[in-house]
Amino acid sequence: MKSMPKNEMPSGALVLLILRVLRSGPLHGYAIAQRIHSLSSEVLRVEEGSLYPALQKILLKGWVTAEWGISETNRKVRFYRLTAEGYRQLKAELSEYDRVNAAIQAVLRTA
Amino acid sequence: MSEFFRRLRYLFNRRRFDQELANDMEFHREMAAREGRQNFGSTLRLREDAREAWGWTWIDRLAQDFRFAARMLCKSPGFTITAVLTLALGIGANTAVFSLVNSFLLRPLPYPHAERLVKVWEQLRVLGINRFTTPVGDFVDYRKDNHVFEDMAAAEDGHFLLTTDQLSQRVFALKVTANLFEMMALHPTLGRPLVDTDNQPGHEHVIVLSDAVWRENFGADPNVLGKNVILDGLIYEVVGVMPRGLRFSIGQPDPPDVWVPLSLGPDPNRNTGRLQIVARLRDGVTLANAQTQMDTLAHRMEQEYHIQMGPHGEDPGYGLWLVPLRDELVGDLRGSLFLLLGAAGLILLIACANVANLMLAHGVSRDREFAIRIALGASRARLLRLLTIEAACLAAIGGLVGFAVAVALSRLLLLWSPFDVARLLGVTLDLRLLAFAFAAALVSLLLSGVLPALLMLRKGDSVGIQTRSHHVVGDRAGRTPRQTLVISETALSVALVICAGLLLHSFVLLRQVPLGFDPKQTLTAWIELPATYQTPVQQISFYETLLDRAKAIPEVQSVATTTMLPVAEQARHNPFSIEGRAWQPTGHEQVPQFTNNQAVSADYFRTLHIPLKRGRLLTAGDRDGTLPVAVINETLVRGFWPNEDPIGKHILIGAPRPGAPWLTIVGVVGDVRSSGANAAPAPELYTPLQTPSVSTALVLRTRTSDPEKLVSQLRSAVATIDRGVALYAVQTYDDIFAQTLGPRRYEMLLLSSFACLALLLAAIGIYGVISYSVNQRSQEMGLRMAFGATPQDLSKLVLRQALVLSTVGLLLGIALGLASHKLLSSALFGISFVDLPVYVAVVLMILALSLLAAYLPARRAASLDPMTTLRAE
Repeated sequence: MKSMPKNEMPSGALVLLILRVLRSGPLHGYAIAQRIHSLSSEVLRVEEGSLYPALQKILLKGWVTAEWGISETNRKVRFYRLTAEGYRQLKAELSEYDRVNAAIQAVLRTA
Repeated sequence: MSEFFRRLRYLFNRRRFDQELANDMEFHREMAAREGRQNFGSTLRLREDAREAWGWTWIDRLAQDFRFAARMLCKSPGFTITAVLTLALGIGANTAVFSLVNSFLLRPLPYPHAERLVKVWEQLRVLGINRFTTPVGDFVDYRKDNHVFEDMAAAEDGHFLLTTDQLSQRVFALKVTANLFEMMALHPTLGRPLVDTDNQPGHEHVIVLSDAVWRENFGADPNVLGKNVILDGLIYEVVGVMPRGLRFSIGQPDPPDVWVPLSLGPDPNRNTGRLQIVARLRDGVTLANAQTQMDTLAHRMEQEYHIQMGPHGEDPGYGLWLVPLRDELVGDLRGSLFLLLGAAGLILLIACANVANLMLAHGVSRDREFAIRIALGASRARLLRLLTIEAACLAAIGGLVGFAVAVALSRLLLLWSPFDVARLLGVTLDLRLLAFAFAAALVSLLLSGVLPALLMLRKGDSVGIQTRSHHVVGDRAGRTPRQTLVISETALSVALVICAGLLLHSFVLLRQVPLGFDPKQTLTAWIELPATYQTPVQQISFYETLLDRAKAIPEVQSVATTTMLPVAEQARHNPFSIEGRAWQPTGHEQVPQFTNNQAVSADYFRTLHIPLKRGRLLTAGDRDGTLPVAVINETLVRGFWPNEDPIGKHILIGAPRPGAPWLTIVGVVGDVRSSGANAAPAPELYTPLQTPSVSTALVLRTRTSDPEKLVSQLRSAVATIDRGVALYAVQTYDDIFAQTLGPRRYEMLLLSSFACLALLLAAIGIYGVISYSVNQRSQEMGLRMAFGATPQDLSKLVLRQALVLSTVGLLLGIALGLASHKLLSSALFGISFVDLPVYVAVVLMILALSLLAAYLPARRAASLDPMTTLRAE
């Protein structure tokens, strides 16, 4: 059975993060994981077991497209690029996240 | 929407997408390894998880399961073939019978808007006449005055002598209103249909030929239009030819040979004609609604024309009756069809029980496999799925085979069916049939696959390595469902065999009923005189010459003419009057005051061996000009002169009227069952061969057991008198019985073959269970032998087991059989509630069959070698 690794995050949040790190340009899968890891000051670790299912889901939704490219190690690999639709989704999710976050903060502050 | 297309794109490029994903993940691992991080988990599993997002993994799993199921089924071909054939049988039998139901009851008749077509009959309710033909005057008025029909068409059938340059033959003609062609979408292949002006007086001498007549008489001449033919002495011009293989009937057994217009002109006598009316309801008018409105119209008509139409001036209860055309054509087949469908349903149940049993037995031998699967983490749901898929494979193949068989069979069933309407309906494959076969396959999947799978898995923990291998006495827990199944299938087949037996016995009893005359070694034929025989004297002299010539044929013992052949035709139902008495519907003992009257020549009674009971028979001296006489039968005497001598009394067909002399009764003869064995004898009144006679039949008593061989001599005897006289419908009484008993025989034969199938399946079921239990108990048997049991003891043990199973099944089946007696009652004849011969025969048959089925396993048990069996595990 699958067990949830530590620092694993809910898949909704993972999708948001993937979309966010792709905003600055196309990346391959490993780079996405690396970027999230480093940007989160090495708190968040994205495992293969959750990254690739999330990427498939995003592909299915049409938020990113995959294209062949050459990695820094000179290997043929696919790069994921944010689509216009993905960009819209990112914006929508960000504002939704901000709204929920603000609400949670408000509760935490006053309670 | 676009998401859906991406999903589809993925489905069709799955291989490429998977490779790309694999590449991505491989690269991921390489990079991670570079940074010194270790990866855990199966790449395959991870990839599968990722792929799941696309939502197609079920297809792969399903394909996997199907591949596995196919492998499993191939591994045990005996099991697979038996199961497939059994299911094919069940599904095939059902689909075939359903195709009959489909043709007869469900599919629309081959006419446009057939669901709105009705037959319109006049009724004389007081006289008990429900289907009375309509005179021309009434038809014209109804057609003009009704508001419920789009159109009404009329047809009058009759036989005529058709003479062309080539030959002269007797044809079946339909005189119709021209709109019938449009109404029933009848389109000639050559020339034109009849049109409305053809129905005008003076214009009606046109004729449309059937394809057959066109070919026989005109050698399929394409220039036939405009040529003349002679129909009963009148000249008609050919205007059209109908297509080959035309399917048409509004109640006649066959499409007509020729079509001629009905004359609808102003007729001084509005009561001529005996029309059959077919009408199409207006869109949106219900049958009940139309009936009500036509009732009103009929009431008006009654006031105007029919108020005193009864034989004695009484109110005949005139009315109209609308019958949907399908009901009119299909008639009382509904009961037979449902009976057959029920029987086929039982076959399917029995087949399913058999296959379920096979599955259970097969499943037990796979216990270990299941146990290992469960141990390796397969869930019960997954096992259930696996078993269901195996069963689905069986049901699908069985369904396909069954459907193919049914398609071939349904054509034969319809062709062989004794129902005239079958020729009109025909068989075609349609979606309904396919859907039915699919439903039957689905039912068999549930009953023969899913149910046993649930039973197997419900056993729960008894499925396991540890519980199985050390069982010496067999698996008692698993035996109960299997035995239940065998008992129930035995019970069902017993019930079916009882039903078939009852029908068979009825049939035999029906054939044994004394008809009041001796049909053996007789030959019958009908005679049609051409129009040249106009005077009674001409006709009588022809018949007398014919009788002499026919009697001169060697091997002819005696010969007679009659206007009505008993059993062969629908009996007549004419009211009669008795001098000095008022007419009543019935006399003593409910004998109706209606007679099946007929005119016969003097030798008629001697020829058919109808015994004289009192007085004298008719003689050659009884003819026009002498005292009008009649001979009556015993039923008439019983009803109207129970304690008197009827000789010398006076009687008359219809009401007393001027110009209709009273007939003096001179003799009483024995009863004849004119309407067949299952109807009580009707009052009969025989008058001497007189004129004008409509059509006349010839009856010959011969000295040979094969009267058919005299046909050619009879034909030449007729031809030597007059070549223009047509002799038709030449047949023996065996032929006539075959026709009249046809529907019953058909029903009985079909049900009997179903019963045989059921028996076969039940025997296979018993064999399967017994032989399986012998296998299971081989160690126990070995042990028994080791302790001194003889081979005979062991085979007795096995036979006893089979007898117990079949006896329980028998008892239940007999209960079912008794319960179904009521359902069958309309199809039975002369059978009491418990028909001992049938029940005894069934009991003996089932016991014998179960012993037979257990014989092989019993022999195997007796020949077991104790040492081998005990060492087996």
